[in-house]
Amino acid sequence: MPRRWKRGGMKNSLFKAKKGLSKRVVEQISWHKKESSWMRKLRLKALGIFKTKTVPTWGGDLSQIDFDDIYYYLKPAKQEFDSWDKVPREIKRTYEKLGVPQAERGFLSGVKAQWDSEVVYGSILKKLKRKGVIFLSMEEGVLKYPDLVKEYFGKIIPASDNKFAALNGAVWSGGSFIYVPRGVKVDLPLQAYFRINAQKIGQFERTLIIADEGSFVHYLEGCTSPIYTSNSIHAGVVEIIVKRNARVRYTTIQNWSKNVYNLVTKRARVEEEGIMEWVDFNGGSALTMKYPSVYLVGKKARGEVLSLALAGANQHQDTGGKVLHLASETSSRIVSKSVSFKGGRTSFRGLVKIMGDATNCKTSVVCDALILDNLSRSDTYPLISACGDSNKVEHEAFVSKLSKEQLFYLQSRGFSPADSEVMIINGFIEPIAKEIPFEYAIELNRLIKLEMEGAVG
Amino acid sequence: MDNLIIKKGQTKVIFDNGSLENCTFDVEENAALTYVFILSGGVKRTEILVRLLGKSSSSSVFGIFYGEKKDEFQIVIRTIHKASDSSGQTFVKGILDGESKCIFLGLVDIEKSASGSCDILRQDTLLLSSQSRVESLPHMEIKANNAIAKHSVTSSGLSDEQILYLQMRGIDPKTSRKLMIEGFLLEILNKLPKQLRKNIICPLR
Repeated sequence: MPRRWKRGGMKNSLFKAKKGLSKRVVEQISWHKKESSWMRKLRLKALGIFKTKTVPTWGGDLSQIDFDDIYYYLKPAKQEFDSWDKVPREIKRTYEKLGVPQAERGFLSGVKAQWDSEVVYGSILKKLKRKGVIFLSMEEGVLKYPDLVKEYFGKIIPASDNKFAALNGAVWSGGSFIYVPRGVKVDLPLQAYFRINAQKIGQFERTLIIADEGSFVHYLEGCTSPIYTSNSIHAGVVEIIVKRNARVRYTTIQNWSKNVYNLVTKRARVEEEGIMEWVDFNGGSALTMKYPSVYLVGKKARGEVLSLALAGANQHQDTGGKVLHLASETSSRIVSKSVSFKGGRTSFRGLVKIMGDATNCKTSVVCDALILDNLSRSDTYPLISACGDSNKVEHEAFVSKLSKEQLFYLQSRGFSPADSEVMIINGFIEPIAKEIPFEYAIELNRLIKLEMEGAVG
Repeated sequence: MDNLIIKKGQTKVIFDNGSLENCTFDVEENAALTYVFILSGGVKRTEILVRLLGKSSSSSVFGIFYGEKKDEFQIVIRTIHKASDSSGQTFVKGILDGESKCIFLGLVDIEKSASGSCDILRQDTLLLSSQSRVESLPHMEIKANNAIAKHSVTSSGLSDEQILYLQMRGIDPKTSRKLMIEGFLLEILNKLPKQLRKNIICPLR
């Protein structure tokens, strides 16, 4: 399907590394980013680890990935398409149905020049700067704040964590670097495209967020409109450090085109009385394997994972969450909702572990799934491990179809069958959808309506 | 490995106090299986596979385990629904004391051919000491859409509030603990067939 886009994207890129992964390619990337030797060494080390690691055999089917047939680095051109007319019709149609503002449409399809968003968001950035908040691309972060980056980069998720984290460590480009100083509360959600010189969301983005004591920040990535990419693999790494009393919320709205393998590693380390919240929506991609995790290392820390997955034709959403209770009086909550239709498959994979010496911990895991037709499938694979009489663990899962009674009720009130289905589904996902910023939640509802068209016969 | 077939229309109640280690049950049309097991003392493993092969077949698996000292249990219960309108139920309750450990693996598999099926899996563990440990892996694979499947897993200690409440009513701490443990088990005992209830001597005190 995306052949056309592939060519379109390639033609306009300024520099592209050779296909495949080699020491030379990694060095080239490092050279293009004007990195100093420590980062280059980190990249090469990650490359070595990548070569020794094997592709995971569990979860989704990864056998189709050919690591030698991928461009690992494209220095993006200013625009993906020369004009709005050249944007594929399908994408345009989706934008219109979603009601994405014209300004944003241009940005999303890469038609628009970057400076436009600079003008709009420049004042916000100035305000942040005055507060001492650092909000840069990861590349700029490495160049401007090497000490800070060196201290935390790859510490939460080392390259040896898994094959895709190693891949990211070797060829990463793009992503955000955020530092929020002590006691500063950032009231507006930070978004990748606020950033000056923000390029299109990359395939191997690397994000590092450091929230110092008592601070708060909400980071938002992605958008409800389909993001198409020439590359068939997306392996991002997100590391978050939540210091004492701080709170970080990370919202993802993922809607990659349906040819992408989305293999992301996300992890947060939460210190005493800190709070980490992952809000995760997965609607796109062919296969997503993503389990945002929280390591509760400080007393009274709290972690939350809210995950929402939508799997349509030829899609497999293997999502979930992980929480490790390493300290006493920590609490966590995982809420997962998934909908599969038109032959899609959703899997919930969760892990909650209360370590031996942690006492008075509390955790609850709830996962609900809806299956809309008999081509689709839903699986649940949780692992819950608890130790000691002072900890409280609850897990609950429920899989079902749309209730006929509810559909009938709505229809008897004059709603069409299609509308009633969408209404019930929107109600089903409501507990998570309400956590997503309002304007995106509206788009999300529209997106579901769009994807569901004729899902149930 | 034992293989038992519950023939068409039959109802069978099987009680196992640790003699059957792993067993496969094939349940045919309109047949019903009730399987009750008890695990205690030592390092033990139970593996049960229930295959609901016939239309409207049903199965209930009940389990109670009690571990103390260095006991280690491994419980694997798999229910595979292959025919339509089949229903399954798995209910396991356990108490762990001392340094005992338990790994519980439950799988509910509803195949495409099993539309109209439902299954409920429940496992509760009461941890009485700080060294006891439980690991639960309640898995579900649902391939049919006209199905309902639920599972829930809990683990916790005795609630301090409830013990305090009983003490306020003049019951000493030891008895109140005992009362609460009995209450915990009563939920599953009440569901067992009557003739079996007598057989089960609560390994309390």
